[in-house]
Amino acid sequence: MISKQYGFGLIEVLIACLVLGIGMAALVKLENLYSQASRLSKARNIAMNLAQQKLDDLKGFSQLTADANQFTYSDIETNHGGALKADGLLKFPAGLVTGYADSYQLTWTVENGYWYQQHLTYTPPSPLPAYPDQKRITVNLDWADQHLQLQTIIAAISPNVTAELADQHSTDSAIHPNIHYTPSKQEEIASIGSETGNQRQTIALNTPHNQINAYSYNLAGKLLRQEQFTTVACNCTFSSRGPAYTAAHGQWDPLNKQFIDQTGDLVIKDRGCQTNGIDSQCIDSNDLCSRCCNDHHDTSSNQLDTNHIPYCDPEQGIFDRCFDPFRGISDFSLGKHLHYTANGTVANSGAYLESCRMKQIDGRWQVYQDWHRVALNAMPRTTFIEHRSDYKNYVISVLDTILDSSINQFNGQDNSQINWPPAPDLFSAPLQLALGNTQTLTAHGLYIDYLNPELLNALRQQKQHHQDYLSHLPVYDIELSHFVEDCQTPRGWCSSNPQQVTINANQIQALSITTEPTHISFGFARSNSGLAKFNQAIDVSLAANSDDIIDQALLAISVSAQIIPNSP
Amino acid sequence: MHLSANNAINKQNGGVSLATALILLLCTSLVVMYAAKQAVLEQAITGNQYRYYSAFAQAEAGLNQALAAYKNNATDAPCELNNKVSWINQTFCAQISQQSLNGQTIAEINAKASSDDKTANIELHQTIGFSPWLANSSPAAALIVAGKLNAETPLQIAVNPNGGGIGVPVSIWSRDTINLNSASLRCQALDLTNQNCSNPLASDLDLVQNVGNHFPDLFTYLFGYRSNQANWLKEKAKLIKPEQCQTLNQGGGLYWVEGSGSCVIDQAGKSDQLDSNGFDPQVVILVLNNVPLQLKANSQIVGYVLLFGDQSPQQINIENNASILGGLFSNQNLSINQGNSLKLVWSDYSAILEHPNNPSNGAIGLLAGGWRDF
Repeated sequence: MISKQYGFGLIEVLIACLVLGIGMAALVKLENLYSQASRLSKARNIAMNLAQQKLDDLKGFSQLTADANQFTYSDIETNHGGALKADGLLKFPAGLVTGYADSYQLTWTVENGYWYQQHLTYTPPSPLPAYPDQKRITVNLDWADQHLQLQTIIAAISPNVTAELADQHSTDSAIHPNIHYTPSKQEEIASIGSETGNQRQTIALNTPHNQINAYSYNLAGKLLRQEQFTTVACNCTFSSRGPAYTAAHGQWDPLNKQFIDQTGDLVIKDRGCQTNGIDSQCIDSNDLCSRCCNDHHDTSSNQLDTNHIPYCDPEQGIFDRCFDPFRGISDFSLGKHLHYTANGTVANSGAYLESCRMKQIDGRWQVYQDWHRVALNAMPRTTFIEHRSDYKNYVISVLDTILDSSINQFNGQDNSQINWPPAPDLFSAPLQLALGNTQTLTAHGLYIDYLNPELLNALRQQKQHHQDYLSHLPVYDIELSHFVEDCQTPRGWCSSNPQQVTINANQIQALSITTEPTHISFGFARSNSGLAKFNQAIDVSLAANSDDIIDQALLAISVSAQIIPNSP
Repeated sequence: MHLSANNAINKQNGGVSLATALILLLCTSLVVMYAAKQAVLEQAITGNQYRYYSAFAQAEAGLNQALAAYKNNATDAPCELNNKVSWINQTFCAQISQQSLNGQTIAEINAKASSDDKTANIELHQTIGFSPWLANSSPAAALIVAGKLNAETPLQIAVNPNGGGIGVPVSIWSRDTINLNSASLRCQALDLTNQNCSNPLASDLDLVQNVGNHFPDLFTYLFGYRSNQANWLKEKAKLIKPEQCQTLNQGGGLYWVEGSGSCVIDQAGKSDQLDSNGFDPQVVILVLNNVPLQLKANSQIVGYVLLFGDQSPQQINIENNASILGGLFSNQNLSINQGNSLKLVWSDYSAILEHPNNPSNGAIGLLAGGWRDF
């Protein structure tokens, strides 16, 4: 019996069970709580993802303005809006979301925000814009007794613009109207043509300002380029330094492979102003001379542009933006070309004479770089008309001579290295007239702009590759006879022996048989602008310049008793 | 003794069972505590994630509000404004900085938001770019008509000096015939400004009618979209009703006008800002979708007007001395009626319209790859 008393006592076991039971019960309860919390966490996670999903959904509108077939910004409203399924219903509609352990109630509210007079308001302004500038969105998820929300703002920024930023526009925009050009029928106008068929015509208009128009066109008659310029001669006086433009000039556009006009820069430099020619008082006028007097001064050689390149420094061989690249170096002082009084003395202050070549660039008259008269030929008009193609070939040979030479730039210094081709004998042969006969004369001047090294090089490349170079060469063949008036030796059409041969305008008449060498001269004041009416102001010194003041062409005349057969 | 020995053993046996029970309890407790830790961790993760989502949504709100403010030229710093908004106990703040990249202007928005306990801090960046209003900011002429032009009103036209090529001026470009009042004149813009416009606009070279090389679609020519994609432009524009045309004197912008009635204009855009840097206008671009235009006496539009739609002819009624400094375009036949003069001055706004640098001269859009959250 005693031995039966060994082992576990009931009481102890009961107590142990009780302790274990109470402990386990508490733990089970706790475990239950934890698993509930864990379920809630999961549920919240799901709710959060659903809320985020709806926010993302609402951000995915395809455009701002309403469209029945797609989800647009305008569709975003309380419990409305979002991506559409194939059947046209919302992919994520408001309402009960099932398929999870819990069922969730999805709703959203939208408040429209407007930037009215640069302030944000959620009260609709008047007039009401087509759509709000921003929408404030609150997405709510409710399940069991739980609630969760996410809030954000969506701005009215079109996704189309975003797409467009990475896209290219249509090329229709590059189309320009074709302007048809009918070449001048005037027989004394020469068309200078190139291998590609592009042609150039320069026409001098008898206007108060000696206006000259140059046209480049192709064989189909399409006008490719039109240039309009004039030369003016002005009375000026020095004024204070101030803002003025540097020389407008030609240059090569490597992108479009063409010759373009470049306007000058506005810089601080020496200036002049227009006078009445009597005293040195500035006069207020709006004509071309006021611009000419103001701008036609070079910058000093140490004045640099934004790329740290001098505008004009002849001593260093830099002529690219000098107003007159054809002057001798001695006609510059500190990089600035000299100015002269009417007496031909150098002017540093007070009144001086000025001539400018003005060109229309972008619809405005700009003071353009001066040009250079390369050739001047006077001849009977009939000779020119009958042998126009010979004359064109002569002009092209002059241009080819420049391009085939070794010069780096075409300016007043380097062009002395060029062996100019002589004009065909045809044009320089003496004119034989029968007694009493009359003949009309014509005079052609060939002008070329300054060619900077890049332009000259590009033109050589074009020629080498048999591409059009002539229509990119700033060359102008001008019929000059109506630029001059009565003879005022050496200007105008003059006869060396008026008793035997008279000339009235450009009409000569044989009065008597010539007994000694007789010639007709055609002369005009050339000046830095290359062309100035023969009785107007000029601005170069004969001694100091490679350009002469007076341009003159001579034509030998002999008068005989009878008409000589086959005379031109 | 024996009894006491037995008692001792009994006592010991009870202790063992209790100890076993306690050990069992301890083990279970450990398991439960581990589970508890896991549950707390799970809740903490969920909480963190919620705060992150919430702060992220707030930062996006900041970004978007800044975008909307910028698009509307709001001068208030969005940052200050937004700080006043605290609608879920969180704040957001955004700043905009503009910079130049390869000649194009871009802007960067930087938005920040944090959760109320400051544990989640989000910083978002979005780079935005500008899309030009126009594909062609220098149209070939001040008056382009994709049909017949019939102008009873005497026109004074300042040509586009390079409309047909370098130095080749164009005054009117029409796909069909042009009928003008014989008192119409053409000149350069400067001459017109100086009241010196005197060349008759009869059959000059720069009057282009009935000749080849036409734009297939005027809408494409101007804006780069085909006219059946006009909605794309509409997306960029401010949509207004015809009666709102009177309120366009506040500055520049692209406006799409739709609805019933005429668009009556007194002043649209601004041109009076001349300084030493030159012309600094605020340009409007008006697209009138089947809406007739009426220009009041001495009215002025600085910018471009396109009469667009399927009604033909499109109508413009002029009271005396109206002027458009920019261009007038119609994708149908155009009829210009009444009034003693309409000045059409071709103006080159390419400097401000080709590379837009603010929302008054281009549409803003998000740059691809321009978003980051650090």
